[in-house]
Amino acid sequence: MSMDNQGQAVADRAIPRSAFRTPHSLLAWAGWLLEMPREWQPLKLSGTPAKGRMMVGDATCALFSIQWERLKRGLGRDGRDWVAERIKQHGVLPEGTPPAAGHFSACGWAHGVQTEEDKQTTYWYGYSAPAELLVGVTVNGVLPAAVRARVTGEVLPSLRTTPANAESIWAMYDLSFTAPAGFQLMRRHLYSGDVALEFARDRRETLVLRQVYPGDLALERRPFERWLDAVPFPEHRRLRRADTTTEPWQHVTRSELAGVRRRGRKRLPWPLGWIAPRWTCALAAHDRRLNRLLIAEHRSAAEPDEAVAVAAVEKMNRSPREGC
Amino acid sequence: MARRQKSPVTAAQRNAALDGVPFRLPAVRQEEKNGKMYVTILYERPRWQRVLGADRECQRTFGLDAYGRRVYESCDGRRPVRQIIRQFAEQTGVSLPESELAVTKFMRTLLAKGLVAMKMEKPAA
Repeated sequence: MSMDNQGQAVADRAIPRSAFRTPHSLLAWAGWLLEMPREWQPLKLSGTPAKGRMMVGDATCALFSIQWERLKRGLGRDGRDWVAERIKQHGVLPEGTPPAAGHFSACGWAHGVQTEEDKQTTYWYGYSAPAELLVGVTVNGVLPAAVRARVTGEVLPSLRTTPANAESIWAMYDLSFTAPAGFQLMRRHLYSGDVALEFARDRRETLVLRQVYPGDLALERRPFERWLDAVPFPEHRRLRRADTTTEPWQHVTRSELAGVRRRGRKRLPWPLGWIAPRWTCALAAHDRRLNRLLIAEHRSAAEPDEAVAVAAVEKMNRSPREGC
Repeated sequence: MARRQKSPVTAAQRNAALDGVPFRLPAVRQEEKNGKMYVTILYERPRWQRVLGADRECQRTFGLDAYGRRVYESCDGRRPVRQIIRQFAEQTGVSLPESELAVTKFMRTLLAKGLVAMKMEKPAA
């Protein structure tokens, strides 16, 4: 698969050769991922990782939307009934050979569907049993035929999912994060130049992943230590300075990753400091190759393993070759 | 009273803006301090200030960081905004949509402050 000069993360090894001829980027959220042209971007994101919707477009209009719903229990059967029912709701019959059929337990699609607004809407539905995820894609029917063909011929075939019990990939705006298995997205902070996600596992363990770019500009404004202090999400616990150790950090094999590591404890304000303190292990590193500031903070009730934060940093913006 | 709605930007207007060619207006002086570039321009005061007795013109200085300077120096009267956006994306490693957002917003500030002006063709009716 050809990639552009920005390191892009890719989910797994079984990725088909991309149909793209132009530079493309990865878009991944809540268990699904796809590739799309670099000039396209998410316009609107609503809902939660369990059920939500994302609208994708270019600078002029919305091109397609993706809806997803994660099931706590699988559909019981292979999901074909669900897909057929969804397509039937649009008053049409499913057509043969839907794109991305190989990546889903069941899927179906219909194009050229007449709706109130237009005549050429495309609907695609799929169910992935390993991911326990229902996915629906609606392609805007008012688009020119060439753009619609691009969505159905290039973007839809790249759609796939990550298994529910495996590490999850979250990517947009040319950057990507990988959360270890079991971590659920709790909060997000999506701004141009500053993207952060907070994941939690069992309510007592959290992982905050953040990328700030351009990295040199970020470090010009404040040093690594102050970036570690400037948490993107409000939290009740404060760092206890007396227990904190901060030291320089350098990745063992990737020389371009260097920064600081901080270990310590976070506590509620006095007099509640004795209630459920949290250990924290945070890393802030400047990726000189991509010129980005990468930050990972792992908090847990027991002393956290540094390997979690290190793995989170090294898997940010992972390129497909490195992932394989 | 009904609030007046902002008219949406059409694709034609957007294309016309992206094809515009910005150029730097003459500056009184340019200097560098601590890695920043300071540009001083002549500023014509608003009428109400002049009525109150202020001078017609005064000098205003704006500081530009490394990225701001890069965009400002790209306004050479030859490159359209579209090309500046692409160059900025390549130089800084940000995505094209993000580059467009950042450059156009900054360009608007430069225009509003009187540091640059823009040559634009009138869009076809």
